[in-house]
Amino acid sequence: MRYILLFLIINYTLQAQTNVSDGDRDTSLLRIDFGLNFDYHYVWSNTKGQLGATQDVLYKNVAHELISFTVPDVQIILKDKLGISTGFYFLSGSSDSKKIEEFYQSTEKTYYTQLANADYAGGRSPVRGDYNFSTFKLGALGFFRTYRNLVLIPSINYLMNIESRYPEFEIRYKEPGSNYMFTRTFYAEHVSCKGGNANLRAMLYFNSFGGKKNVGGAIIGFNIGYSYLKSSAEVRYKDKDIYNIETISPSTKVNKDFSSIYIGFILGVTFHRNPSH
Amino acid sequence: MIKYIFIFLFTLGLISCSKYKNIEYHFSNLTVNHLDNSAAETTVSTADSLNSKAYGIRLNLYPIIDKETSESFSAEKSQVINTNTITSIYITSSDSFDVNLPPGACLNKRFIYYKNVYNTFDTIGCSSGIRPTLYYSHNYEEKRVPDYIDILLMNPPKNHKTHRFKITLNLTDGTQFTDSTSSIKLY
Repeated sequence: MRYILLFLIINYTLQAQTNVSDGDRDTSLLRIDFGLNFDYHYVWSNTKGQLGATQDVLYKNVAHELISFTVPDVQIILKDKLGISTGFYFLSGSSDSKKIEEFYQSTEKTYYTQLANADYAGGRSPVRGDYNFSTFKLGALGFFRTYRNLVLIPSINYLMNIESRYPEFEIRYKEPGSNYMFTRTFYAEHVSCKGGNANLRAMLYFNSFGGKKNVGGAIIGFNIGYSYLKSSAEVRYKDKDIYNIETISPSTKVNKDFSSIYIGFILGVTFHRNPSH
Repeated sequence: MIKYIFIFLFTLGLISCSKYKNIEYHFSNLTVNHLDNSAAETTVSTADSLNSKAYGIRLNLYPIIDKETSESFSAEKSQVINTNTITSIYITSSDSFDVNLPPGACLNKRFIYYKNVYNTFDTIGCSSGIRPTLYYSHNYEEKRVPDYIDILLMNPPKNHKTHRFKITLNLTDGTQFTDSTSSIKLY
């Protein structure tokens, strides 16, 4: 678990039927908002699966730089108080190679081992030690004017898998008293994910510039939410020895769930046509 | 506007002109030692008998740097050029390995060029060379040029005989280096 500071860019579009800052009602009003959302994320993960000790340390171990973000985050008001929310949600995290290396040094007694990305200079590692999930976000939102210029926008979203990746590790073994060596590559197949997201935004609109017909203003907002991503994969390993003989292990199902709570603020600008013109 | 474009292009030019140190070197000699690879890393051995399953030979190459530019060295971007690359290597033994490999026969296929990271190696053909690299070395940023090659015996002889391995290297500049190990009993 780790605290992460996150930048979330919002491409925020509203076709509002209620003129927020003037309080008038005008069905022809088109409002477009753009802004930046700065969120502070707290992400943690949980792993399930009948893994052996070796795979356990490889896949349960996500300690560094868990990060999640949505870009662009698009919200469109279709009806008076209802709309759709969409965008792309990403989550990634890297494995703690130091922990993995320590595990091998302390538990592997039969062979000498090297973690492929531990001994290489220049970062030329054949190992991808990171998790990456790309999802498409689609959901519904509400648009509620509460007090003067204050608007509350709750939303619930479904996260659909676009591309998911589990890390790959390569452990190299050498037999004591022999020149015999082999490489064990741990990898994942059929990786996918899905999840959900609940978000609440509170926005204050200020009209501050513009002419009679087109009006612009500033937005200050507050954002809070929770995202859950459930991923699944089949992990296995492949041994390749110094004579190029390959052996592939049976697969094991792994579920890895990620949760993220976040809180942040929004700064933006708003443009809309003045309904009286 | 033109001024800013000019400044941008000038900055871009400065960046693209950034150079890294280039090094040219050549190998100047060859000496060979027995290697014991029974532990985690290869070690030079002076023993008169070694386990054949963990046996290897170290080829010391004595590199001499001929040219070195003054820029900073980058392990990623600097060019390190060997001016007398090894075009062929020939490994023989004073005693037979088996009935098909009498004394003096090419033993290259019984060895691999080991890069000192587990399971990273090149096979050695009887008419092909070796390109020594520091790519996998722990300290290649400091060493900059390779100074030895480790070859490991992968298919040891079945008999427990005493061998004296002879290594011959032919290089692109016409140089030929030859050296032999001391006698070693492989068990």
